[in-house]
Parts: sequence; C-alpha cells; structure tokens
Amino acid sequence: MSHAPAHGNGAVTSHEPIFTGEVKARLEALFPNYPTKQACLLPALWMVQEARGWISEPAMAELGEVLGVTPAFVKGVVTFYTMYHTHPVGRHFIQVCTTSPCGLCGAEETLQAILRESGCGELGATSPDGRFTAVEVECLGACGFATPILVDDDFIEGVTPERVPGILAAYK
Amino acid sequence: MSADVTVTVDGMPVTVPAGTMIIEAAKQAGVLVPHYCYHPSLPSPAVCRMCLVEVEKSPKLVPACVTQVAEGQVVHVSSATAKNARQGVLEFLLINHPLDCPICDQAGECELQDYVFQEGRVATRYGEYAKRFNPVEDFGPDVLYVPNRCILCTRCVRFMDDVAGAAVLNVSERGDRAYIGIAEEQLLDHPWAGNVVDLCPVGSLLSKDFLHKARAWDLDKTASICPGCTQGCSISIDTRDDVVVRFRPRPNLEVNRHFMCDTGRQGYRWLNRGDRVEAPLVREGARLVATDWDRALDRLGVLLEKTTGSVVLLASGRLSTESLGLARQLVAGRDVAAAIHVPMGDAQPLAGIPNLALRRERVPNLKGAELTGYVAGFERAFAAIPRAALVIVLDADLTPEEEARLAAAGAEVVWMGTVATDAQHHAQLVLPLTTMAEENGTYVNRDGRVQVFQQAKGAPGMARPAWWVAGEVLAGPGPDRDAPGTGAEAFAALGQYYPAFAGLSHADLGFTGLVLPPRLAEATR
Amino acid sequence: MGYPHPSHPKETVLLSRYFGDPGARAYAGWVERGGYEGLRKALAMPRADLIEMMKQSGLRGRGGAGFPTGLKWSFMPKDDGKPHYLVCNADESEPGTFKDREILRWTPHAVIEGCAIAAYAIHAERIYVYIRGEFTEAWRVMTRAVEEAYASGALGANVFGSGTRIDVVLHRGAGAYICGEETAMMNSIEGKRGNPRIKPPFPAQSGLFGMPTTINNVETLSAVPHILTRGAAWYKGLSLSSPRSTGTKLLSVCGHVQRPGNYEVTMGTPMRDLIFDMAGGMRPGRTLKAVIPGGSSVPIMSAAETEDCALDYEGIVAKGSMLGSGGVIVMDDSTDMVRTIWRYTRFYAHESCAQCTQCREGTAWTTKVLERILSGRGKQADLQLLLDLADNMTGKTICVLSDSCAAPVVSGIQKFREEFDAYIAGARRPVLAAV
Repeated sequence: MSHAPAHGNGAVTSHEPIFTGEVKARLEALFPNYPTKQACLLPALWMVQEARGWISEPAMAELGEVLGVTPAFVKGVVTFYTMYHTHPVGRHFIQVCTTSPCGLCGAEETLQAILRESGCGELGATSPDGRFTAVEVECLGACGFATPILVDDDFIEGVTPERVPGILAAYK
Repeated sequence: MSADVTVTVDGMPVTVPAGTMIIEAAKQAGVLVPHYCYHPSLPSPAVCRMCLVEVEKSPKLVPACVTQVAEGQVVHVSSATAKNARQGVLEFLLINHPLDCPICDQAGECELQDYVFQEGRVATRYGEYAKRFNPVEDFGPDVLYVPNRCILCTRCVRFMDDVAGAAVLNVSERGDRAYIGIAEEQLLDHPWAGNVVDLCPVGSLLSKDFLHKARAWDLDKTASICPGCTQGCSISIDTRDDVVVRFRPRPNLEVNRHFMCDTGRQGYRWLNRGDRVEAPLVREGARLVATDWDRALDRLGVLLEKTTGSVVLLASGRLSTESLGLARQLVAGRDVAAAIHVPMGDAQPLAGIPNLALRRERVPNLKGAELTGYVAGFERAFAAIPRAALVIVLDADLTPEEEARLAAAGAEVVWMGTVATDAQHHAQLVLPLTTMAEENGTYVNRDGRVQVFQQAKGAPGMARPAWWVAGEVLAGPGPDRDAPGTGAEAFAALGQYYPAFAGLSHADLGFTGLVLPPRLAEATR
Repeated sequence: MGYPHPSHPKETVLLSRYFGDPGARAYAGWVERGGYEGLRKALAMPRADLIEMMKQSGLRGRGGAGFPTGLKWSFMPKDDGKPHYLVCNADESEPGTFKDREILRWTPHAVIEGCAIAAYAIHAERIYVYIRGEFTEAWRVMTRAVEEAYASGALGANVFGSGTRIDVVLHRGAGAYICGEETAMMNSIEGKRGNPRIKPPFPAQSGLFGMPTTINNVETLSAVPHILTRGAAWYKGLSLSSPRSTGTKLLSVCGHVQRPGNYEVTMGTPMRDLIFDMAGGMRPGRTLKAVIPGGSSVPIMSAAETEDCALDYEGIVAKGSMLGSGGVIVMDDSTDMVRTIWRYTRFYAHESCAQCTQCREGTAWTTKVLERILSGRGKQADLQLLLDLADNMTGKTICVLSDSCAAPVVSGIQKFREEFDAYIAGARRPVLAAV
C-alpha cells in the first residue's frame, strides 16, 4: 500500500487572520439573523473567498474558531459546495454551463472558444498570465439564453463563440 | 409507559415497546436485517440503504433502522423484493471496492464479505471500468484510513461527532468522489478514537498496531474484562497460538455499550511477557531451588504457621476477586496490613455515553480488593514492613525503592508472582502465578458490578492462580479436603468469608455481570 | 410573457407581466403596478381564512412536486409557541428551468410580497430566501428590494402597522443542485453539507433549526398576492383541462425552438400551442423528435406523445411524464439522444450528495456505461444493465435525485432504442474518446 504523509506533520504556514476589523464586523452583523453561529458558515465562507480568492485550510480553521465548529466540519462543508475554491485560481474565474439544454444549443463550441481565448487551454487550468481559470459547471438556470457563463460575479447570457473575445477583453 | 406493539417479521410474531425500530424488532424475532450504517450506539442516518425491507401495504421499501413498528405490520426481510434491493446495494458497493481480501485485515470478519457471500451477485458487471483510487492516509496515532475500501457508511464520523464529542472526521467532497476526511493539522488522537476501527464494517479503518498481525480466522476470541481501570469494560481477548494479539470491546449495554478506550485497548502486551516465573522455588540455604507444587505448598503452610506476628500483604489490583479473597484468608485473624497499589492517570470520559470513562484508578479490581479486606495504596503497608514477621507479595509491581525496603526488612518473604524479578532472590518461597488471561475469575468494577472473565490462553510452566494456591493451603491435609478446583468454585467459596458474595455463582453473572446490592458493596474491613 | 420575446396572444400573462420592465423592480414602481395590496389584505384576515383561500384556489407547488400549497400551509402547528420559518426556494437548478430567475430579477417585490403573506399565514416571523450562488443578478436585485421593503414598512417589526413582525434574510447558496431539495436546503441554511434528511419528521413538525417550517418555490409564492387581490375562485377558474390544475404556469422553453424563453399559460393549454405557436416551432428544415416537459428529472416524451397533451399536472402524467418544474426542453431531429441523456446522467453524478449507496455509485456507473456506448465500445448487454441499474436506483433512496437520473435513461432506452443500438452496432461514429 502506498502511504500518504501522516497528518499533523505538515510545516506550519503563517496565516493572516481574515476576521478582523471590517470583515469581522460584517460577519457579526449576520449573527442576529440566525439562531446559531454555525448557520453563518456559508455566508462567512463567501467572505473568506472574497477576501483571499480561495479558502485555505488555515482559513477554515480560523473560521471554525470564530463560529464554534471544528476545522474538519468546515472542510466537509467547503468540499461539498463546488463554488468554493480550495486552491488559488486566476484573477478571473469563468464558469461555463454545458448541461444538456445548453449542450443542445452549442455550449461545447462556446466552451472551446473560451478555453482558447482565455489561454487556459484545458478545463480547470489557469492561463499562463494568471488572468483566467475556466471550468465547466452544471445548469446555471438560464437555459433559454444559451450559453450562459459567469465571469466572477458577472452573469452573462447568450454567449456564442463569436462574442467570446469581446467578453473576455473586459477582464484584466 | 408506552404500549407494546406486535408485528410479524418473516412470519415470526414479536411484541416490542412502541417506538422500537423494525430492525430491532426483527432482532428480537431472531431475524438479522443486513445493515451497515445503522449501529445501536450511534444516531441513524439511514444512508447505506442495506436495511430496506418490505412492509405489506407500504408502496415502497422502508429502511428498517429508522422506521418504527406499527401494530399489525407484516414485515418481509427475506422476500424477493427485499433481497433484490440488497443485492443492488451490494453490487453498487463492490464496483469501486478493491479486491483486497488477500491483504485486508478485515477478511474473515468483514460485513461486506459476509453479505456478498450470502446474497450478492456471483460475478461483477463492472469488469471493464476503472475503480476510484485514493492513497492510504495515516490518521494517526493508531488509525489508518484506506479510502478505496470505504463504503461511506459514516459510522466513524458519527462516532467522533456524537459519541466522542470531537468532530475531527468529516465526509469530504460529493458523489462518488466522497471520502472520509480529517482537517490538515489534526490527528485522530482522541482517547476513544480506536473504536472507529471496530465500527468500520470493512477494512477501511485499520489499527496500525494490529496491521497484518493475524488472520481473523486464526484467532480465538474469549469473553473477558479489561484490566486497565475500574470501569470494567467488557472485552474480547483475541489470541493466536496462545499469544494475545488484541483487545476489542464486547457489547455490554450496562457498562461500556460497544466501546473501550485506547489505553485499555493497547494494554494487552503485558499478558505476553516471556520473563515469567515458571516453577515454584523454595529456599535451600543460599539458593532457590525449583520444585513441585506439593513441596512448595507444604513450605508455604510451614511458613504461615511459623511466622507469628504481623503480616503485610502487597497485592496487585489486577488479581481476581477469587485470588484476592482466598489469599487474604491465608492470614485471617492475624495483624495484617493488606494493600493493593493503584496507579493513577487522567480520567477520559466518553462524552456521549453516561457513566463511561477511562477511570483515574488504573486497576480493574479496586472494589474487589476493598471488599476482600485490602486498602488502596502501599504507604501504610510499607510502614508496617519493618515490624512485620511475614510479607506476602501477591504479584505486586514494586519500584526499585520498594524492593530495597523489602529486602532490607527482617521479615520472611513469600513472593507469588507472574513476572520473574531479581528481588525475588531474597524470598523464602517464589510461586508462579497466572495472569488474568490465564484463568477464570471476576473483577468488581467501580459501580459494584461483578463480572466474569474467561481464560483466554494457556499458562506458562507450572503457573497457577493465586486462589488455587490459597485454596490448597486453606483446605489443609487429609482425604476430605475441599479445595476449589475451578475459578467458579473459588468464587462460590468467597461467600463464606465475605457477605457481599454470599450465595452468588459465576453462572449468576452471565455476560454482563451483576451489581452487588449497595449496602453490601461498601468496603468491609 | 415570452420574455425576451413579446407576449404571445395564447399566453395568460400574470406573473410574467413585468418581465423586461425595469420600473417594476423598485418598491414605488411595484406599488404603482398594484403591488402590496395583497399583503395589506392578508394582514387583515384571520390566518385560517387565508389558508382556506389557498386551498380553494388550487395553487400547487411550482418547484416540481406540485403539492397543494394550502394543504402544505395547513400542516403548520397553530399555537405551539415555537418559532416558525418560511423558506423561499430560489435554488432553481433543474436543467431546462429558468423561470424563477426571471421572477427574482424583474419582480423581486412579487416574491417579497408572496413570502410575507405566506409567513403571516403560517405564523412565521422570519423568512429565509435561499438564492443559488450563481444567481448574482437576482442577489443584487433582491438585496436592494428587501432594503426598500424594510424602508417602506412592508417588512420589519410592524408590517404596515399591523403589529405583525415579518423579517427576510437572504441566504446565498454555493453550487449544489441538491440544495433545491427542501430538507437539504434546510441543512444548508443551518451551515451544514446539503444532505437531504429522512422523513419523517416532516418540515412542518421539525424543520429548520428543528422548528416548524414551510418551504415554497419562488413561482408558487409570487402567485399568492394575485390570489389575494383577485380571489381564489378567479384563480381556480384559470383551468382549461384538469380541475385539479389551476392558475397559470411559467414554462421555460429551451432547446431547439425559434424563440426560447419563459411563456406563461393557463393550466391545460395544449403543449403543441406552446412549442409551435408561442415558441415559434422548429428551426428551418427540422422536425420535432422529443420533448422533456418538466426539467431533466422527468421521463422524455416522444414527438408523438406531445400531441393532444394538456400542459398541466394530470395531462402530462396521462402521457407518461410529469409537469415537474416546467422546464420544457425541445429536441429536434438533429439531436443525439444518447449523448444528451449521457450529459444528464453526468449532471446527476456530479450533484449526488453521496449519502445513499444507490445514488452515489449508480449515477456514476450509469454515466460510465453511457460513455462506453458513446465511445464505440458498448454491448447489447449494457442496455439491460442500464435498466437494471435504473430499477435499483428508483424508490430506494432518501431523496429522488437517484430516481431522476434513472428517468431519462429508462425513457430514452424505451423510446429511442434504435439510437443506442446504432452506437453499439458501430453504425454510428463514436462521439467520445475511449478512456
């Protein structure tokens, strides 16, 4: 059997706390909205991703501390929801719907155009200039406006291969 | 008081309290509903779907582990529909499961093997596809996780979350990518974490200590009691060729439910020591000479008669009640300081189970010792040694300082013990004793529960239990002597000396023991 | 309206009236358009009457299950002293469905008003609106609308001076289709993995945070104010075929049609009218091959089955499928049915939460078998295998994601067998690379 390294043996990485000052205030403003702190976990994870671009294990541990849940619990939640990144991604994150209704309307071609134009080349890869990471995602709920994509928080409908260069040019 | 409900399971009628789940009602009817994620000591998530049973008038199969009985329900566990559903689950579980049986520790006691053999398909339909692969993970300190074998029953996660109260395991990812995860800097070092290995129905969570040590079918399994502390968890001592290879918890709903702590679990090695006293040794001048039991017992009788004056009895808290009780009677009526040594440690409760903890007193029979006339702690006993005429060491583990004090004293020393030690060279008589794994006996736990442990392995050389030695001497000479020949007889004999045990027999104690009435469970001096 | 296309005469424009009208988003604009009258009326009614009104109207859940709304509200305890919750399900993720996004981004106040009325009816002082993480525009629009509603007294401690407290909390999802399942949604709001719960207990007894909870879909809730203002009898009267299907339904038409979009019709409208009149029919030179009427989780209908098919709950069941979410996916003769079905099973495999064995392993295995067929290495025995797997995956799990994966597979093999045979026989060129 091949063995992965034992846990607890990793080097200690320094983690700059996220939940201080303004971010902390924003999180605490959510507490009255729920009977438990744990219920703030999904909103808080969005705050982590907003602040750092992705969610590291030390960030999960910090958040667990703040909300009173274990790091393992936070990690179980983070890895369940596909919109949370557990590793760094490009400056701009592109999500392309390829589920069948969009698949019927040319999503594959749009996806290939995006992989080409962005420089990512393949799914999940970051372009060499660090600008883009592109992934395919499941139904974005805009099937009548094929092909929909998300670039960061911008939901863009009706993307055809012809429109791709123009759309991507706006993202530095 | 809830009303009782009568249901029929595979044609067997059974009556159970309202609120009982079908799976437990079936158990009472003698029908095992195959299952993985369900466990009587864990909350039920009903995720494995193995326990789906047919209930007449119900449109769908129902999960027996979370469906309550209803009056007049007719349940079919062995119907074609239920069997097909189970076969489907087994097939799904096997598609990503590696053919590891030849190298998997669980083989022979694996619930996947068992049910597949019983009800699974003969051949795979997944032959040409790749199985999911993840490398083995060391969860530390004693637990290895083999993700490829995991069936995601989540018993381990629920145990850590709800019973241990330390949510250090999780389910990570989603769909067929899911696996059991642990946070990066965390270890599975909770004092009760070893139970996840027992809970795992397959060979996914493994004990590093037991890794590749023995095949399940080579093991003899004996019902016993953990000798680690005063909790008195029911355990199974697993041996192979007379060597103890592991302790595992044995179900006892009154004491430890299905669990034992890691300290107790790892505390079996001393039972395999090779440096044992193997023959009785009597002093002949400057030398100790090996001899037979008859001569040794005669010498013991002589020593007891000869040494008038006070006696100090230094005993191990791991001795059975029978041994402690009958040995104490050897010096009844004399000025005796009888004591057991009680090593201490930190208590480690199991949060989710009431009255279950690794106890501070790390001996199994403190209560039994107190009931048979011993005190805890050697200080007063050692203070009495200088003026004592006779010191009997009953397998006590002495420190070098204590050994020196004993050697310096003028008392005659009779040393009955399991392990051979240099300090025995000063004794008049050295007698080989059995360990608790080598005899039948009882321990009394901290709640006054008397529980039997069975002999798990053969004793080395001529070793005998201390109760036998005492019983032989107490019976005296003559043709009508009445010395106990078995642990059960020794236990029955206790009653004449100690009111707490009057009228009790091993048979009364069953597999889960018996709590002594509180009035009698007070220590008698 | 057939947004982004103009309304079609055969539509009954009610919920979609202001799609494309930016003025409808603001509180003032919504009030001008008759908004919040329903809420004012509801607050003056006894709750029991309100629930009875919903029952009379015949409104049924528009998210996919079609459960009678009034009946669902009536399950809530009346006087238990516990906090009650309303959850608005805005997690729209069923492939083919895109109606709730329109309601949210064009008429957010319709959603707020509907939620408020429902909350009042069920004694809930707090509403959680669970918006899927990808709906960024809906999030921004709803955030502003909620702020405006509070500022205008339509939400808060004393709604419109009635003495009733109604609060709205927007909660953002993070990429999980399964969170649209009502019990999984509750777990997600509680800050856990989105695992569906076993039932019983049912949400009305023990739901969000263990308290009595009702979960309703966006479209369902946005219909509620209309029932208040125009009456249950009026709503019930909007029914062309089965009397058990009343009101209007937004159909999200997508796929191979000239004018994809959301069309709102009276229940019982012929399916052919929707596809060929409202959505403009086939692309030039193409013929209809298949339709999925209610989002990918319902059986595929052949073209022949769409004739004389009434668009309502009973009408589509009569044709062997289900209205579901109303995501109408139209496929013409250019469609590779096997590949389309494969991409659906891949969707389900990706979205499985991993609790139940049949779903976790079955969705992935089904996908792999279809991949082999599509890569030219399929065997005839694979088809029986797929049907066996589908049978093992149906009716045996905590939720119906696994059944949903089976539906397109079973209906696909039943009705388009020749396409599977063509791949297996090598008569059709593989479209996937062998793995």
